[in-house]
Amino acid sequence: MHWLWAPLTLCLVMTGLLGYLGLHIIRRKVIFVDLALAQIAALGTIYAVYLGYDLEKPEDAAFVYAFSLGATFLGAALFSLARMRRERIPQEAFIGIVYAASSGVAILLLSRSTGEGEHLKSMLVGNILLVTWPQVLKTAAVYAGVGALHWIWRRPFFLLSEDPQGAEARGMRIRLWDFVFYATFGVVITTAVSKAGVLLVFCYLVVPAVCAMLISERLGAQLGLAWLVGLLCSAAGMFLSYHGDFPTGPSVVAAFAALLSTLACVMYVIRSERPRRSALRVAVGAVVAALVVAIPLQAKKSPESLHGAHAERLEQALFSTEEVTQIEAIHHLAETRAPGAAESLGQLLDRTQSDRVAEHLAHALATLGESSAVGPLQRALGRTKDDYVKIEIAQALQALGDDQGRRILEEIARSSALPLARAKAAQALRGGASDPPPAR
Amino acid sequence: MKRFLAIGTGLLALLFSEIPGFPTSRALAADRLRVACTLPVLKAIAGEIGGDQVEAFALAKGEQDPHFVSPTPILMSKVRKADLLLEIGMQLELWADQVADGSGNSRLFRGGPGRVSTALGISKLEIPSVISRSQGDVHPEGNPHVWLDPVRAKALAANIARALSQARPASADYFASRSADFAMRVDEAFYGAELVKLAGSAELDRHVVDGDLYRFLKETELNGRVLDAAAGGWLQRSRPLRGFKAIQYHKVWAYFSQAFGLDLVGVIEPFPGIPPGPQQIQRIVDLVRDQKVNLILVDNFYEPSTAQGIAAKTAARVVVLPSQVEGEPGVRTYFDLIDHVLSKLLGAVGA
Ligand SMILES: [Zn+2]
Repeated sequence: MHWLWAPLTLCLVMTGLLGYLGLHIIRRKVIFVDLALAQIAALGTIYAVYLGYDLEKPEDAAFVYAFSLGATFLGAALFSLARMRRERIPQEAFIGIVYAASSGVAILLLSRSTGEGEHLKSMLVGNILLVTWPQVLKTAAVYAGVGALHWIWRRPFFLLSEDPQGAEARGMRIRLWDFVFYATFGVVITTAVSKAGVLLVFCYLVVPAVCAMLISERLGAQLGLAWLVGLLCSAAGMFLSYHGDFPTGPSVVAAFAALLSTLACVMYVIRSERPRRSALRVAVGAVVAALVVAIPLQAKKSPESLHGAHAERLEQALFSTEEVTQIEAIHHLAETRAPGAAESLGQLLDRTQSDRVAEHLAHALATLGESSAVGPLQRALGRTKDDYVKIEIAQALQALGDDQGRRILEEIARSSALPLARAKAAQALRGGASDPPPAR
Repeated sequence: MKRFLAIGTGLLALLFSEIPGFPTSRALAADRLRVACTLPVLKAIAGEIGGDQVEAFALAKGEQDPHFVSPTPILMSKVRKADLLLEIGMQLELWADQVADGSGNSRLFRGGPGRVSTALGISKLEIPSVISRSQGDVHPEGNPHVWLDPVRAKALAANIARALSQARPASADYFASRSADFAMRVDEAFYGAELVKLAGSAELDRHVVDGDLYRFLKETELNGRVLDAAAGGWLQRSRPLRGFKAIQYHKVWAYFSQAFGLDLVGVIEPFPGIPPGPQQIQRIVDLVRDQKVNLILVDNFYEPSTAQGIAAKTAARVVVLPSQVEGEPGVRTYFDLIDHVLSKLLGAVGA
């Protein structure tokens, strides 16, 4: 349990800065800018990989990181230029295009480099469960630095997010400030995404801010509330993940979703002019949602029964195309001495091509001790060229009282090309224990 | 002077080989069997069997995840004119269907005469049991990573030889003799010549597939000498690995471990592509500690960070291995592959 502390700490670090940045992002109406920036950073890394640098090699790491950072700054420059004076095209459209284009180019580059897809996956998925303390501390240090910048420049940044026209009218150089904002934002996002994955980072950015804005309109209160929401959901998600043995990232995402939907319902009822009626509506909605999930559950398929038709299934297994399945069935039929087993095994011996199956069959037929097996054993003896299989069959014939077994053993002991086969046959003639082929 | 002439003609031939209609190696290549293989290991074996009668090429790259290859137009155009498409089968290369369908070459569609599942008839591990119906959810037809056991590689080669002979009956003898030669070289490389002479490879093969080769070698005496003492080749080289405990990321190493006596005690990923949850990781960490597991085997196409995270919490070491021919530079033949994997493992256990 103690090793969940590192991921939990990382969640709290992310809550601290992402919860705050979320307030900016929602005011600016650029909800998906984090996805686009993360993808651009990934594109930078993939380009470095394409050029032959290795993520795993320590001597290449700085170079790869520089590429990723450079790409992020390029993205920041793009987004600061894309702010339109009179918004004919919404900025979200531009962000979506950047996301799609960088994903596409990344896939193109990956198709020409080694280890296809794996680099991209690891960069955008992340596994928060396995972060180490050094990684957490490094992230915390980066976030402290960016956090300090945002504290120093909090006035221009919020002015820009809330009232860009006013800011420009006052003579602020908004393109430059936008660039600084997106550049710091990009650094925060790429550090987080490599550890926690795109999905989780998006949630940390958007859900706490949305929850806070549902409750309060004051900036200070919003920030406090966002942090509280992030804290609660991190803890709840970790708890769910540990006790349900679910992957951690998606568990935290589920916790965010649950909290947000509950909060939305509560706020709807509280703010309503007729709270009772609203509460009733919410209750009906909840019941309908529960039914929609629960009714198909009734149709859930139950796993196939393990009992019944046991012997029949074993008989069928003798006709399987898989050697392993045949051998498993041979052993079970011989052990359970099922009625008719000797006959089915004899038929299998007549049709099998495999020396290995024949060896197992001979041993099983000797155990069963039914004289009906002599015919199939004699025929198998004529077919095989393998001395060891012949020894096994000859021993089975001996056990069933057929004299041919002894003659075969003598012949092998005298004239086999393989020293070990000669020794084995001689041992069998002396009445030594045979070496049974192992059951599966 | 003669030398110069020879070089000159060679250069000329090289120059003109790009011109259509010029009768050079390209024209000769036209009457070779064109054999598309899903994986480089199949290409390597098909090349051993086919010799100069066959032009084999692989669709996946050596360091690519064999489960997931994007069926690109280039791959489709590559198999358009192929005579055969060799795959492992057992639902390993599901992408091969898309490549074949996209190529429009109907001989290579699933069930077509040119489509060959090379694992057919090979004794498999992790087949869903008839008795308990357990396992089998990862690869429903059993573990398809059969090629890492030299014995089963011989069986793959025999299946490939049969397919080549059916496609070109006139060369059947040629393929059969090359297949026998390949099997003999594998036997010598794996068991060593002396052990093969004493016991015969068929009996040894059966013990490998039954999973009790090492018990057999230790308990069988011949002329007052235990059989194990006669082992050479890879068997002798891999002696320090016997009984070493290991876990793997994906079930790629089941057959290899059976053949070389590694003791595989666990798998990290619960299902392919799904990251392990906290309890699964805790179980693996506990397993590694309790059983004193020394090695974590990760194929080089998987992200090693999960395995490294587990190694950081325990005393185990991560070994990143190629599971394919051409999976790392210098691994060109099947023999290179096993040699290379053994060297890496022996290096990791400090032998
Ligand atoms: Zn697999």
